[in-house]
Amino acid sequence: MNIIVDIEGPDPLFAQLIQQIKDAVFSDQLKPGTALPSIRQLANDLDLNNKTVAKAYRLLERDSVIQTKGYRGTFIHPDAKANCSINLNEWVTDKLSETINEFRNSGVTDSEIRIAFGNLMNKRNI
Amino acid sequence: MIENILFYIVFLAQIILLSFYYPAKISTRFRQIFETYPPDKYPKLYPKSDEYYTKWEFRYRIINIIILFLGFIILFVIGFNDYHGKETQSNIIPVVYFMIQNFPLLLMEISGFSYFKLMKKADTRTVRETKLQPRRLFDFISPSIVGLAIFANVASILFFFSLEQFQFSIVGDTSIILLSLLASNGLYAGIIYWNLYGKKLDPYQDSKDRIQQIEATIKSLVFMSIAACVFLITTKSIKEFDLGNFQHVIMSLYLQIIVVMGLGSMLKKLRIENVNFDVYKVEISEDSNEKNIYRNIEDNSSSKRIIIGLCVGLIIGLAFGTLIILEGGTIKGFVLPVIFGTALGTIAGGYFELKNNNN
Repeated sequence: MNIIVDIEGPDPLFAQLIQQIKDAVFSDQLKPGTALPSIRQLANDLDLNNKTVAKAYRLLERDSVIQTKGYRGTFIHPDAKANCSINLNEWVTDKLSETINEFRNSGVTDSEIRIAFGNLMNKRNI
Repeated sequence: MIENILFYIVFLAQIILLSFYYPAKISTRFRQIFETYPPDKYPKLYPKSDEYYTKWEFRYRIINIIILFLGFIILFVIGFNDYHGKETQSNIIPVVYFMIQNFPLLLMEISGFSYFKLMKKADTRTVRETKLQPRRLFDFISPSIVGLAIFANVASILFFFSLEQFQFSIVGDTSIILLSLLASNGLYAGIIYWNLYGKKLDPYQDSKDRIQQIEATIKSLVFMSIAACVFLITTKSIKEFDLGNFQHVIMSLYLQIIVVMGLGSMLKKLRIENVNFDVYKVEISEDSNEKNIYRNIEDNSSSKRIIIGLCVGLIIGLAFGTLIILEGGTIKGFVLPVIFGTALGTIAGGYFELKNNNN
């Protein structure tokens, strides 16, 4: 299976990698147990930074789409297909939308929401 | 007498093989590519002007002809000295001449770096594609051959230790041989690793061609490692059995074998007709200016890191060699540090050049 990235595309490079791997799992092009190239190999082949590929692999591992087996390498997770349907990005967006709407209905201004969110993300005390 | 005649024959074969046969093959291959895949149809393959390639091929041929005649002169001088009963340092001659014979190839490798750098510079594609497939050593070579190489290395180490009754001395011959084995195998391992996981130099290279290139490189390096062990055991054995007069014959034969295994097998396996040249093609109308995007790219690199590495290595090697001579060493003691210094300097320079290219 070929993987394609567009360095001038609207999506971040790591997101392009994640999406294509998930699509391939979903369409059975990548079956459970299939070995994936190492981070260094994929990064060098696509002329990307190692950190970009590492981030994509880390997020795919978090979503249980891939699994790393020590020195043996990285493989497609046995439950990858089921796990692919869970879109954490979508879930976070939905949850945040709900909360923001609740704040707005209570009369909180957008700038107050932004400041509070920024402070929380930066782990500052309010 | 018999060893002299044998040496003339083997050394003549070295002269012809490395300075006539393979250079002629490389020149023919170059002309074949240039004629079959011309710059106007395959502009991505020629980042410099047409004259540059024809001039380069002409210079390559001339340098090899000069080296070929130099070889004949050396052979004549050795023969002349032998006839008049004078002693020649013929033990070291095959190695020194081999270094000279490899000079055009070294130049070719150095210019190869700037050539691929220009190709990368001209490559304006924003979409990159690769196979989502891991590359592993045993996908390219049988485990039994790798096992054989490990066995040969372990066997040669044990052989050398057994000759010294397993007494290890840091300054002894055995430790120098072990160090050479370690250095050469380390270098081979580095090249194999870089081929498997490193960035490809040619940005347009087809993935099938890359796989073929990796396979040919790995196989030739593993066989070269086995050949080095066989050579070391053979040279030591002939010394032990008081057949030291054949050492230069064995040396010349070994040098020819490694060239056949390295350059020879690469030329044999990577045939032009099997390479996908369509990746260098530009399908556009004749009046279009798009072809010029890939041609006459300004070269700012000049491969200076490799040349600096080579010079620094050579100077350090010469300094060590001179020190050995002043301490009462032989010509062999002078030549070896020079060879090692130059080789290590060039490798270090090549590494920094690659790093710079990738950045």
